[in-house]
Amino acid sequence: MLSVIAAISLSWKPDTLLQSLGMLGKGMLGIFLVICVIWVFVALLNRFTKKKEA
Amino acid sequence: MENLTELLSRLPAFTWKQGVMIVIGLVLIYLAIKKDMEPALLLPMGFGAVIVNLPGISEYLLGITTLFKAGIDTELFPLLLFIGIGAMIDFGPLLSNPKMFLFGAAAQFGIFMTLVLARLIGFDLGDAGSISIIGAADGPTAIYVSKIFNSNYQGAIMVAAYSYMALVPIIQPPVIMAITTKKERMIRMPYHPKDVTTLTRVLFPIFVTLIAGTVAPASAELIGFLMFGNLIRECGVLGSLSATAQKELANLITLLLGLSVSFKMQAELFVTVETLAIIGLGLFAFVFDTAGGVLFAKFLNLFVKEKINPMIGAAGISAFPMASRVVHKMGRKEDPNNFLLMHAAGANVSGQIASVIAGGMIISLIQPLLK
Repeated sequence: MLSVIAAISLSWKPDTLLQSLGMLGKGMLGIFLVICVIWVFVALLNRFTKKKEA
Repeated sequence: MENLTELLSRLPAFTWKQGVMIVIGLVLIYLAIKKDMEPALLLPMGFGAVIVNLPGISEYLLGITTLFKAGIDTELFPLLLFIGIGAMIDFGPLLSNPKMFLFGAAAQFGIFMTLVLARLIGFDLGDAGSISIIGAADGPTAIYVSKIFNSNYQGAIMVAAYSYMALVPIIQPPVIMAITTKKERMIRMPYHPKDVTTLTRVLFPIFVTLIAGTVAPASAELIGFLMFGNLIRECGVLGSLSATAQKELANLITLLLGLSVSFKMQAELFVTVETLAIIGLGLFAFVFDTAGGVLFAKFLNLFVKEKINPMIGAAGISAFPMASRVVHKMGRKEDPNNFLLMHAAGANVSGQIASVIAGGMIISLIQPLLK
């Protein structure tokens, strides 16, 4: 509750919204991109290093 | 009597803000000892907060100032701590079930939502970026990023980051309950572990460093030290060094880190309206991280045949192993025969990697705008 009051007492900057939303989009896209590349690499690695069944 | 009055008049002035900070320090010590909340960090941080707020001490803070300059100004402590953390993490459950990688990414949503909110309520770009990283649920990353942006709120950010990490078992369940149905929470996920070869375990940290460091160079050191620690663990020829990194190195660095951060807990810097706002924003970040992971799992369920228990998404935050334990426990509560731990652990260690990448993304996106 105190935090909310503190936040309200700070100065509001609604003009930053578009820039921040742009960062949200780029940031999340970037993280998913890197994670997907790592995922594909691990899948390939698992496939090529799989032990052959006796 | 006159002598006593004279002696008292010579004592340095004690402000109410210093009193507040000493109480905060004592609360941190209490939480560390009595509640076992991140004791390796909160204990030195609390004790340091008491020291740095003693009246008239500011000009004598040579040791803590030196520790801060040597360990945090240079970003050395968070990086060294990452070697220890990397050595502690077993990526086996993730390597065996790599689709869990996605949940680590989704659960970073709170970071960017917090950036949006922090900017809206008036924090400048560098401080907003530093505050948002509380949502990485990863202390060293929070310190690293706030140092890169030279944030004035490093003390508050550290306190919020580590406190909320310890509070994951309290923060996450109500959020998960609010956005999932009982039926969803009861979804069973059979676990079919695949063999993970030593070669895969050894190549994994090297490749992750290469790809994450190339795409987000700002995260190269962080991810590199984390993965180096993991390589020590998995290479098979540095067993005793791995054990030392996991215990002695990690504990000692955490202790020094706690003392160093207390340098930023001096009353004049800490007792501000902004600190209260940061504490609130930290909670906001953890709530949206959790919601982001859960909602992403629900979204995936629209397309997949084998349904995913959406609670797994909540384990994608970096707080390891608390988040995976929370999910497992909630699953067992709904259905005592539902074992989600290994899936959740996979998502949880993925969160460790994704949070560092998120730190790099925040730096890459914001730093060019600050120049």
